[in-house]
Amino acid sequence: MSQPISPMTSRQRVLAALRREPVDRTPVCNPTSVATVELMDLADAFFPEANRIPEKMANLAETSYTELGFDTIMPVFSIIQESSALGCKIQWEQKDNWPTVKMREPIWRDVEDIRIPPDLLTHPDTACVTEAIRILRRRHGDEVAIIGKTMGPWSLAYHGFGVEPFLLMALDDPGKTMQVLERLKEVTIAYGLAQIEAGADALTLPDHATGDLVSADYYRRFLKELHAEFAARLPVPIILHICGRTVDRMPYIAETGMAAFHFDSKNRPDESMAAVCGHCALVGNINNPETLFARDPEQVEAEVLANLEAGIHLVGPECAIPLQTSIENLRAIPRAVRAWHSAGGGARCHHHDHSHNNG
Amino acid sequence: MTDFSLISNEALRGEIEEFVTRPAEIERNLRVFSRAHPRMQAIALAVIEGEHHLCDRLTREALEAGHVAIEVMDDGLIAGMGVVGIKFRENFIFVPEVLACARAMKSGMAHIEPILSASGVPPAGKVVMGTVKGDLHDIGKNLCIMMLRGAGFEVVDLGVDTAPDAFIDAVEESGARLVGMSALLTTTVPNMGRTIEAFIDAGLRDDVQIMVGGAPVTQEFADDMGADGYGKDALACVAEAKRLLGINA
Amino acid sequence: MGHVLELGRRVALQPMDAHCHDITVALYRDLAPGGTPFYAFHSYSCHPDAGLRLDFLAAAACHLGGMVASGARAHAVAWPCGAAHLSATRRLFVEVCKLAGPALPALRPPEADEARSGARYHVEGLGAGRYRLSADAPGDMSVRLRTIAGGFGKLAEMAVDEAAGPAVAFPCGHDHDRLVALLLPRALNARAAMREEESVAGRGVLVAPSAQNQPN
Ligand code: B12
Ligand SMILES: [Zn+2]
Ligand SMILES: [Zn+2]
Repeated sequence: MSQPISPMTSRQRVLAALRREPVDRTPVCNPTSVATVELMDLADAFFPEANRIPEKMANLAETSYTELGFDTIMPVFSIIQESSALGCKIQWEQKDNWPTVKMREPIWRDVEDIRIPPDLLTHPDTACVTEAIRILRRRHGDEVAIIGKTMGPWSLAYHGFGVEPFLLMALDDPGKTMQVLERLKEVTIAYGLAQIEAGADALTLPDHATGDLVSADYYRRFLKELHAEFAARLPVPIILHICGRTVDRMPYIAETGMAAFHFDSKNRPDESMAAVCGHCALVGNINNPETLFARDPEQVEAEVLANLEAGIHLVGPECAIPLQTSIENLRAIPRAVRAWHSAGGGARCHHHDHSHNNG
Repeated sequence: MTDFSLISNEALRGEIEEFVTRPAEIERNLRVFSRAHPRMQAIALAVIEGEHHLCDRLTREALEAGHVAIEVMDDGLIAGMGVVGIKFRENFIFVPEVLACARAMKSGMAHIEPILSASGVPPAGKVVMGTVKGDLHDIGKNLCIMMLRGAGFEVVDLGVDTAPDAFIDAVEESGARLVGMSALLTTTVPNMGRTIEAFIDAGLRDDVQIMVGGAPVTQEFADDMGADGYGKDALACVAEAKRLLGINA
Repeated sequence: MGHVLELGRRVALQPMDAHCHDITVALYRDLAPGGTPFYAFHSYSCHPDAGLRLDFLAAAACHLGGMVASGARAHAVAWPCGAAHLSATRRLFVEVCKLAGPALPALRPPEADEARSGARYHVEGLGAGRYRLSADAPGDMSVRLRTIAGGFGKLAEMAVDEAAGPAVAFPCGHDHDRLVALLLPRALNARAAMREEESVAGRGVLVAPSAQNQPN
């Protein structure tokens, strides 16, 4: 049996879990977004300003720690900050919706069109994030894990070329597609490093090569090596995020050296644990639209339990939560985790984790 | 029994044998392809394989050889797209492959459309399709449109982020009797209900059938918001469109 | 910055109140000390107008729906019968959020016109929470009335008694006249209820040919 673990801070707990080391209890984490309209009122920080003004971004983001009891703070609610700096047209939306890239008006048609602007890291929409991370680090010191977010090249290509033209390119001209990804990977690296320098403890790396769009073979051919390169070049734990069906590509993901994979409820916790085979941590996978958004705390707790029982390393929602999710449902997640550990679930959890480390 | 040898084109026969598994669909495809001219079978195969240059050439040649446009469309292009829909639904192919098939279909339709519109052949039906207000996901909606066009429907595509009034205007302008709405975000699903209420307020609700779809939408949601139809994928979308407009499959 | 409060279960939400600076307004359901359910309008907004807006919404729920102020909490309301009437309360929330305020609108009479059929529908209280539906229109309206009754069933969890006119009844056994008048226009369009009817008809229930709905 493992030794009882002395109490950890949220930050220690998250970082240990990302290394698949023993923890005092399973951390609660959303590496995408936990912003809701009610939390916006409470923090007096609303979309779209909370996506563009560092102070507002920090105020809204920290509610996940101060109000909901999560172990992480994630200030990047959207997936478009660096795309804005790259020159994509953004629809900033309003309080009740996320901003998005107007992919109907693509900015690139060919590899040569891709230019990384000199102000990539000083553009207001990227600098907003680094500044928010600094503010959060000042306010919260070493207590809580602050996670940054840098988009992978596959998702950046969606934004710059449009999803459909890019997917057709991947089919028609794999060589050119590789060149596109090679160019864009420098954006991923540069923006990731800037956030690490600002104080991020870990980075989410969304790269939407999901089973809802492409086969697992695309992941293997186009992304596996690039993702391994990210894991090697970015000196903090990386949490890869791909929503949708992904269990068919998890074995490849597990070989990249990424610290963790943030997985969607379309994949069962147990089959996902089997698919990554102890080579990376898993974060997830409470269903957003059907459970967190539409049902009650009891059903949320049931999904938390399913994750804990399967040995999932960090428990939380599967992706950016719907903005109208109720606060009770979000608070049910840390409550259920604590209850499970006090009822003795924790002991099993350490044991389980240990065997993975040794195996 | 099912006699695949009725399909003379060997590669096409292979596609049907390998990928079509539901008995009713096997039967329908056998019925269509066994009486289709070899040229039509080759066109269908070009669509299934996403070969747009080939499809373009074969369609042109078939028309030059004296096949009528309707035959080329029904037995070649549309029949091929039917198989594509099945392969996508069963996860044998993914979005890039479907996009390529749609591109092939389009290259053939480019020859067919001018002939049909000159001869006044009516489309199977007219549908207005759009992604609702606040939502920019359109891949699923676009696939539905490709399949609808592939099944002979005329589709007015309103794109993404479509306000209720834009749906209403499009119905009034086009005279379409069927509206399809797509939403992928839980925050925008309620906008489907709002659009339906806008049709009620405009006094047009009884003039149109409304169908809805998108990953977070369920039959239950569809019923609750007062939609007439719901489809879980692009094939179901075509089937719903036919049902709601009273067209026989 | 404020803090999250224990408010019970959130049962309805208006993410952006167009009539009050886009604040988010929620309706929470909780239990008063005696165990009776009450509902409270709540906003985490620190906008100075938020409190007044919540006052108005609570007052409008009392005025339009016949709820009564509950002392349990600020901006709290309850049904005088002590029942929860969750679906009806949700519908009422949607209706009051549409109002700009501060003036309360005139109450609707218990009747509604339908442009398409030219019919005028009435609801008439029979006491003890029961209401009869009727229509002024040429021809047989019985199928249409049953559909509307189904609409009430769906919108306010009312029991439908087809034989009696038809009639609809609140399970609590108490009258809710204002609520019924408010729901009538929506019940006319409760397509969901109609769909259920259709599928029942499709399951082989015999209906006189004159009363059958148009096929699709
Ligand atoms: C690709 C994708 C994107 C792309 C969209 C590109 C585009 N042009 O569409 C990008 C990267 C830009 C994107 C952005 C965002 N996304 Co997104 N995205 C996805 C993803 C991975 C796949 C969606 C997809 O295309 N599926 C494939 C198609 C073929 O399936 P489909 O759309 O369901 O369509 C089929 C059927 O539903 C049906 N159908 C569809 N429409 C209709 C209509 C009718 C009438 C009928 C009958 C049938 C029908 O037929 C189709 C074909 O079979 C999903 C994850 C997932 N697993 O679904 C998330 C997802 C939809 N996104 C999500 C989120 C949160 C976002 C963002 C808010 C992210 C952010 N934090 O900024 C933004 C929002 C942008 C906005 N305002 O709309 C969430 C939504 C959660 C929720 N339910 O609220 C999802 C579910 C991820 C998750 N697990 O949480 N996204
Ligand atoms: Zn996601
Ligand atoms: Zn009552």
